[in-house]
Amino acid sequence: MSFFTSFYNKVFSFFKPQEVSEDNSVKEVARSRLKLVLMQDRTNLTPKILEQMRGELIDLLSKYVELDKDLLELNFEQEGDQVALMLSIPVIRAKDEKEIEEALKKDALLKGIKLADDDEEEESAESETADDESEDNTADDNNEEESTESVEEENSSEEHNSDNQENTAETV
Amino acid sequence: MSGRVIVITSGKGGVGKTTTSANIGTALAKAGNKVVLIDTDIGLRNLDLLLGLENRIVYTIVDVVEERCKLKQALVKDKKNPNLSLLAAAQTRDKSAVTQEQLKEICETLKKDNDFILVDCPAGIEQGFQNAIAGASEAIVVTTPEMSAIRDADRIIGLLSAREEIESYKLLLNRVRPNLIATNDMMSVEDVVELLACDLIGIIPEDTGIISSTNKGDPIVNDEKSLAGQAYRNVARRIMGEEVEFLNLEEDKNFFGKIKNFFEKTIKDIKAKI
Amino acid sequence: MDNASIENGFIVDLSNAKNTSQLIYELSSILDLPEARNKKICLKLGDTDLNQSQLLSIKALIDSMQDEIGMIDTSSAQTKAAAETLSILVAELKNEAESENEQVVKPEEIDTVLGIVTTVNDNNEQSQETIPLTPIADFSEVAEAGGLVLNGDSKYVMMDTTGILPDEQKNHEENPESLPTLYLNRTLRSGQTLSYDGNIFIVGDAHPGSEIVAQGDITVWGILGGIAHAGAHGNVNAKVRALKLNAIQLRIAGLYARRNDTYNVPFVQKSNEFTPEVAVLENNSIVIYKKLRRDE
Repeated sequence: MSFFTSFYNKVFSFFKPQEVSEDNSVKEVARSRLKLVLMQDRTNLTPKILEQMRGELIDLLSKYVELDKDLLELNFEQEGDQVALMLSIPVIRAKDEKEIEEALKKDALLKGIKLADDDEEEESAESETADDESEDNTADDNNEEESTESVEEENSSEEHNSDNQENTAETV
Repeated sequence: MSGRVIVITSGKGGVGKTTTSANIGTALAKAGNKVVLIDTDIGLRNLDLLLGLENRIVYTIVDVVEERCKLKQALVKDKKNPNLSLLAAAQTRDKSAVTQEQLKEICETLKKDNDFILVDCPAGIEQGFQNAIAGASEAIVVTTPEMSAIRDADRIIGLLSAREEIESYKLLLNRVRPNLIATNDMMSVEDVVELLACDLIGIIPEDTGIISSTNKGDPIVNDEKSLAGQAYRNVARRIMGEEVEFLNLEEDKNFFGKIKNFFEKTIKDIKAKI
Repeated sequence: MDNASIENGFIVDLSNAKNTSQLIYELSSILDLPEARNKKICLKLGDTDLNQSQLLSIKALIDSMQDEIGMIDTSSAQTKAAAETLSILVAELKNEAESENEQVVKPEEIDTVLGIVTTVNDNNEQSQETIPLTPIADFSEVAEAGGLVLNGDSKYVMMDTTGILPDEQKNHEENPESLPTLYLNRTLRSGQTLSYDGNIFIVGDAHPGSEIVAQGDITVWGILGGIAHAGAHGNVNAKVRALKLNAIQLRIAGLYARRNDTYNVPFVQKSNEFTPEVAVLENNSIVIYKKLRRDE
C-alpha cells in the first residue's frame, strides 16, 4: 500500500494542483509582495514608515474601540491621479465612555513621561528663565482643562509634573 | 472623419506591445476600419517584421519629420489589407530624431482620413514614451501577470492618468497561462485588475502560435483557429464599442482536472482493493 | 606669419565649423580615431573667433586625447591674440606641406556612424601609366564571358515607387571604375549606415537593418542582408554584388526591388553555401545574375 501511495505521489503529483494553503501559494506571495511594492511606488512611503503609521493608527483607534489588530488593513488605492488611503478596521466592540476616558488618561500619562524624559535632556542646554515662564503658563492652562489626578499620580518632581501637563495639552 | 489615436504602451519591454499593436491594428482593419500603425521605437523597430512589411519600407517617420518625403509617401500598405498601413520607425537613428510636437502633428494629420491611429510605444518612460503618448487620447497598457510587468504598468498608468490629453486607458493582460493560474502559481486576471485598479480591455492567453506568426510576418488574428487571435479580435471589437464577453480560458483547467480526477479515481480503486 | 613644418602631425580642417560647439564636436570625432593618437595636431580654424578660454578648452581636449597642439592657422585676430597668450604657435598652413607627408582629414568625410576616415589627395599627380577604363557594355555580354547566368527564380520583385520617390533624379551612365572605392573589413550591423561617394567594398556581412548607400558599385564579400543602394545619384551602371545576396531591398539608381515575400530566408542567415550573385539594371528592372558552379 505504501508503495502505491508513494507511486501516486511521485508520478501523479504532476497533475495535482499544489495543495498549499491559500496564503502560501506562489500567487498569494506575489500578490501581497506586489501590493506592498505598488503602495510604496504610489506614495513614496517606505515599509518602515508604513509600519509605523499602522502602529500609530492602531494605538490611536484602540483608545476608542476594541479592534482586531492583526486584521487591520491599510491600503492605498489609486483613482485617476488621486491616491486614497483606505483603512479597514475589524471592530470587536465599541468601548464605553468610562473605558475611553481611562484609555485617554493612560495614554496621556504614557506620552507625558516619555516626552518629559526627552525634555530633560534638552533642558540642560536651554536657558532656564525663559523655560520657567512658559512652563508655568501652560501648566496653569492644563489644570483648568484636565482633572489633576494625572498629576498627583506621578511620583516625579514638580518640574516633571508641569512638563507632563504641557505635553498632555499638546497631544490631547 | 476624425480618427482615434490610441497608444499601446507597457513600461516593461517584452510583454507584447508590438505584437498587440500588430494584431489589434490588423483586426480593426479587417473589421473595415482605416488604420495606421505608427512604430515609434526608433532605432529598434520591429513592427514591420511582425507585419511582414520589412522589405517594403522606403521612408520612415524620421524621413517624414525631416521633410525628405510626404507623410503619405511614407505609409506602407499592408500586404493583405489595403485598409491597414504602417509608418515605420527608422532603424538607423535614435529616439531624439523625433519630437513630441512632430509626433502630435503626424497624429493630427492622420486623424483626418483614418479611423484609428495605433501608436506602438517603445519600452521605458523616457523620451520615446513621451513622444509616443504625445498625440494620443486613449491608451492601452499591456502587461503580463508577472511582478515586474505589473509594477511597471502601474507606473505607466500613473503617468498616463496625470496627462489630461489621455481620456481613457485600459488594461490588456497578455500571456495569461490558465493552467498556472489554476495551480495558484500565477496571479489571476482578477488579482491583476484589483492591484492595478484599471479597466480591462482584453485577456490574451499565452499562445505558441505567436512565435510562428512573428516568424512568418503574419499577425495571429489572421489565424481563425487561434485562441490568442480570437482574443485579439475581441479586443478590437471592444475598442469599436461592442460589448464582448471575455474568453473563458478555464477550458484547459477542466481538461487537466478531468485527467486528475481520472487518476485519483483509479488510485482510490486500487487502494480500495488492497 | 611664419611658415612652419611639423613632423608626425596632421592637419584638422575646422574652417567650415559654424560655431564653437560644432568645432569641438568635429575635432573630437577626429581625435577619437585610433590613428589620431600621439600626434601633433595642426588646426585650421579659418575665420572662427575664439577667445582665450575657448581655445584653452580645445587645447585641453587635444591634451586629453594624448595629442599635442602643433600650431593653428587662423585669420581671426581674436583667435590669434588668444593663441599668442597661450603660447600656441600660429602659422599658415600651405598645400605644399600637405602633399608631402601629412594627410588632410576633412571632418565632412567622416562617416558619423562608423567613424571611417577617407582621405582625398588632390595633388597626387598620376605619374604611372594610365590604365584605360573598361568600356561599359551590355551586361548580358559581360555575364556570358564571365560565366554568369540570369537567376530565374524571381528572388526580387520590382517595387512600384511612383508617387513615393521624390522628384525623379537624372540618370547618368558614369563608369563606376572611375570612382574612388572605400574598402572596409568589418560587419555592418542593424542600424548602421554606410554611405560613400564612390564604390563600397565590404569584407564581412551586412546584417538586416543595415544600409549601404554608394554612388557607384557595392560589393559585399559575405552575406548581404540589409538595404543596398548602388548608384544612389542616378548611376544606372552601378551594380550590387555579394557572395550571398539576401538584401531586403535592392536599389539601383532610382529603381527599387524588394525581396519576394515567398522567398523565405531566416531574418539573420548564416551560411556556408555561397552563391555569388550580382544585381544589375536591365530594361528598367533590377535583375540578378548568378555565377555558375563548375559542376552546373
